[in-house]
Amino acid sequence: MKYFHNLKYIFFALSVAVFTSCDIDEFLNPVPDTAISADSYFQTDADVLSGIIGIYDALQGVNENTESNNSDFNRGVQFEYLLTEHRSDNTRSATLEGSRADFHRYVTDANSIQSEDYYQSMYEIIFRANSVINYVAAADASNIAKYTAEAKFLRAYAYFNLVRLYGSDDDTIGSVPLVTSVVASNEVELLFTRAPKSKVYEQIVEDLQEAVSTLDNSYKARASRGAAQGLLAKVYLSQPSPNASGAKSLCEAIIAEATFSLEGNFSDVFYNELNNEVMFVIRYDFGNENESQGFSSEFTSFNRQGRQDGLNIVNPNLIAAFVANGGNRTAVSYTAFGDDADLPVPQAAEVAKFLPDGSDVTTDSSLPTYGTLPRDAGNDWIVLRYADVLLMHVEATLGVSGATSTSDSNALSSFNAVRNRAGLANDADGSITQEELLLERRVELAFENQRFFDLLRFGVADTVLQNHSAEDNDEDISVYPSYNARKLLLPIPSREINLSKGLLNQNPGY
Amino acid sequence: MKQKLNTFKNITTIVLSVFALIFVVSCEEAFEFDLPETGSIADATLPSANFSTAPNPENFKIIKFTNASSEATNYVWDFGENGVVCDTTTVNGVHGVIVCGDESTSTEIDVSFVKFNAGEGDYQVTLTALDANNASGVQTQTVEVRDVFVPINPIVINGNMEVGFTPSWNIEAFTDGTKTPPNTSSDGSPIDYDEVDTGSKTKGMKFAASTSNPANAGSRRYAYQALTVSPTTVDRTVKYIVEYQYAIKVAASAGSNITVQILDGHFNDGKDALAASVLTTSVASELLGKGVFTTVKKEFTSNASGLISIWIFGDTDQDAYIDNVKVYPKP
Repeated sequence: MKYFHNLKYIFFALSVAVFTSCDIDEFLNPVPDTAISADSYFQTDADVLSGIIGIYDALQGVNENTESNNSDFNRGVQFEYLLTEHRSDNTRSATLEGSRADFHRYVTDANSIQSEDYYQSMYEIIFRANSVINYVAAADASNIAKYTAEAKFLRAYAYFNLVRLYGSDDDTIGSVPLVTSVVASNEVELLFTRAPKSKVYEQIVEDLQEAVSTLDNSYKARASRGAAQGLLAKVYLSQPSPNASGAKSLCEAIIAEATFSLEGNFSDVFYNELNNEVMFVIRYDFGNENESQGFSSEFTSFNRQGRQDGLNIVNPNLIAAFVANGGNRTAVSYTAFGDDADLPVPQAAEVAKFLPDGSDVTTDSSLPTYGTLPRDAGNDWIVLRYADVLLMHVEATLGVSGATSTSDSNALSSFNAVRNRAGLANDADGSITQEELLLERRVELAFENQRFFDLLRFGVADTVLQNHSAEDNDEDISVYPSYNARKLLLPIPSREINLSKGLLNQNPGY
Repeated sequence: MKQKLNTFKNITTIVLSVFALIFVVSCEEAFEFDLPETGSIADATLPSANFSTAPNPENFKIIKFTNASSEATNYVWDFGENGVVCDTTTVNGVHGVIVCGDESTSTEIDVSFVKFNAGEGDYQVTLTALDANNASGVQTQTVEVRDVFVPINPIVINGNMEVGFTPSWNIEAFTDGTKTPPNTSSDGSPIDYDEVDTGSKTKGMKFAASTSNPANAGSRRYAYQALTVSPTTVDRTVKYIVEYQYAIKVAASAGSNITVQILDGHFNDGKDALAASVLTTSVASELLGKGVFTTVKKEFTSNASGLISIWIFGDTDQDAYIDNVKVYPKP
């Protein structure tokens, strides 16, 4: 009985111990033992580095060959040609079947799976970048600045794509939600309020400036100073009030530093990976379905290798531009098969810049072959290359002068360098107009998802695309009556609007 | 029996009462606590009106309005008292002819053709954007209608007469005549095409006695060149200048001349060109001597098609020369 008598003291002592040792916050929000959360993950420098690599993983996108389900699979850049090239006058889908065939006809609606996926993919990059920036303190002190700058470069890249595709110029509508910190899913005001376009551009510029001043040129497949300079130059030229002189000095800095140079052979730009010309690429591994890309196979049609009947099929009016101004770029850029191979201007030609390993499209024009694993292609995606910077240098020089043409000797030497590499003579009259520059960019950077943004930046998108879709345009084989100026913006995906519970508004015309 | 009837009466009464009760109660009572708007979410995204404008490339008075409103389904445009809504139709097989009505409002999404007949000026245009709840947004913009017309400046091929006249100055065929163009000559004007005086003579075009005798139609030579200029329309008169330099030998008999005409249309056969209606004729007949060039400018109004041609011939018994033929918009 004596024990029982003491027992109440033992209970008392135990309860005191329990109460004093219990940190209420940790007790109610325990860090799980069996799952990894962001809070517990970032402990060492290696963890932060793997977080950085995780952002590149989001950037790379998921090959469609891994998972046939269409919805929300973070395809990212592997769908980008639909949202850009297809919506310019460059390319189209071979058939009218499925929502991928909506883009080139300007009938994409807010339920488009591809647009929704791309939108989400870009925010996936942004959220992963925000997460790394938030937990970067766990890294070695000497690496903190570098890691932060790298994450910010990638965040800027994603916002730059989003703001150009979805962002309205009209501040009462807004551009895209601007999220620059780790947010919880209940912070709906922050997640679903579209910031003014100028605000988003301010953030992009700030992030890229940090990348320019912090990074070096060690990598081509990871953020580098050169890539940040080049991307920032393009941002300066694209923003609502362009900063042409800023873009010009950035291009001049890249040219003067001579880290990058034009490949002598145009084909090597695409088939000699990590060559001297590329400045920022997204890498893929051939044959590894988790690290490969699917777009190379989607670009085939005559002997189709992809899941569709052929995407990014070249429009006749682009081929006409190649015939007149392509030089030796023509044969590298596209090929035609069967009856089309004999036409001076093929009606249906296929992109040849990203043929999968083992392809042979030249031996027999009626039987092209594409190697063993075309759907797991390893061709890198080129985000930025030196020729683009040289032509941006001309564009910035034109912008600074404010005139309709320029005879500036530095601009001419940049322009002629690109022409000469293509086997073409120097510019004939020694004066470059905006039209000449736009044409040069069109053939040099065809199928690299630049044309649509170029048209926007040069302020001629509506005129060119109106003409492209018009009934009396005999250079093109199709008519797209659904086109109007509102189609220059994609709709905000319905899924986002539904998740926002009515907070997000829609773009005009959708 | 009486009793039975009474029972039946009662049952009927009861049944009817119950039915009546259900009718009265069912709607009122069943939803007593549910207001009609229960569960609906207020519309947080209200319509906002906005639009952009672009002038028609062929007629500055016609403006294209593109809707940029958001969150709206219905639209009301008001173009004010000066603007009328037009549309394109097919007239006599010609597509895309713009026909204007007298309406100054529209409920279309975009209005591609609105004509401001008063011409240059600032006009107030109002767009009201409505959604299905009849919530609305309104925007009024001042539309600046300005004439920024720049007439086509045609290029006269080989206007300086420096190279052979085929294919620049010959006509394709000539029924009852010769399609051979006039002679080339090294005795042209000392003035270059860009009006710089070179000090020494350049090449020119020559009409010799044998190639410019009206009495010998079969060997009379003509210079012909087709041009395209900006057409004159109901809304705009476009004036051009034809300019050239000529010289005729002093020994030529009085009345000798070179004639420059602007013809209405393009022609394949010289016979049709001779019969064509003429927009302007310039006869140059001063006999100042070989090498002494006189500049002549003659104004004309372009035709409705914009297709014109230059037609040059001589009527002279001594050599006559012509050089530096130009056609340009009247400054």
